[in-house]
Amino acid sequence: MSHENKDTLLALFYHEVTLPEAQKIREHLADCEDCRKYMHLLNQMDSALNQWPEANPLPDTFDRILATIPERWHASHVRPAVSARPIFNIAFAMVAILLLIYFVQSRMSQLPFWPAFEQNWLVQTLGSYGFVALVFFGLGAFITLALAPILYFDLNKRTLHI
Amino acid sequence: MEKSTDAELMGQVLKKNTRAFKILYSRYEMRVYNFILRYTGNKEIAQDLLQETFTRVWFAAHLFNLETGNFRGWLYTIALNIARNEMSRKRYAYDYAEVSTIAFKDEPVNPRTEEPDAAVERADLQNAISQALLKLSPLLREIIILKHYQQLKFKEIAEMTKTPEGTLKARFHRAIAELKELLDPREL
Repeated sequence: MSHENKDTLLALFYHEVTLPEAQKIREHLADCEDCRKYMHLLNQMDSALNQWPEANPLPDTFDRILATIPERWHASHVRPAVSARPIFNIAFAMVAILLLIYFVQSRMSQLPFWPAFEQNWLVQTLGSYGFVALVFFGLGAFITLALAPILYFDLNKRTLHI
Repeated sequence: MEKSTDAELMGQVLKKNTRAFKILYSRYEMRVYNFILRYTGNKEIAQDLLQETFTRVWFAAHLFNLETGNFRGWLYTIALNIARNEMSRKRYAYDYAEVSTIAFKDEPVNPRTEEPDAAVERADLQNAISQALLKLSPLLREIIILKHYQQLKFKEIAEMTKTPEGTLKARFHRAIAELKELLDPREL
């Protein structure tokens, strides 16, 4: 039997055809053994599937739904409180870095070779504080990059162990 | 309000009217619950997903088209998406078929109307049907449930699942053939 015929039989079985169409298919069924077999199969499966009865949900389900609505509404509408902590942290770190630069610069200026060092073009370009800041951040970047692979592999190892 | 159409009730739900919401819930709770139960084969999951479906209806009411929308199709689309998502999670992939075997144990037997043997036979048959249905691939199970149990038209299912009608019908034929193989002939 062709696929098209099966679709037509399915439409007839589920009453999705017009009356004249249904009449035409029934006439065809009288002459076609294959189609009758397929209709029989549809009937068999229909009665088999009807053996699985309907079940009832718990009677308090609607109350449970209503109970969860305010929680979810609250969660989706209330903005999390804005915390000033990260701003304070950043400000604190910046002040600490500036103080450190100031401290290092004042110490370096007391060194005996400082007057000669001050003639260097880089120090003259950046200024003494700028130079200290450059050294400071350069060192910081170097240490971070040097530690990065160790930290990366260590973290990965830990993840694997977990 | 009880005689209002689904769309009218949805208009009220949009205004956060819980009474209208309850009427809609009462109209569809059984259908949605049984749809999910047959899809997942697990009563606890079906219960949770029924709750989730209607919670989403409440929060997504503004997305429903009050002028042209078909509430039933919209509701089934929500339920189907939720059920599909849930079943795609691996944690249920291995045990839902086993869980389904207890689906009928808690159904009481009426000793006056039914012989114990007949009740056992009935429960066995029900389990055989549910097991066979759960052994189908999700897409084949889906079409059987939506077409046979929920009595939706192929056109409606096509709109819901964004799948051509021809593909759905082909799936239905395949599902019927597989069910025939899975079910023992004496049980039909």
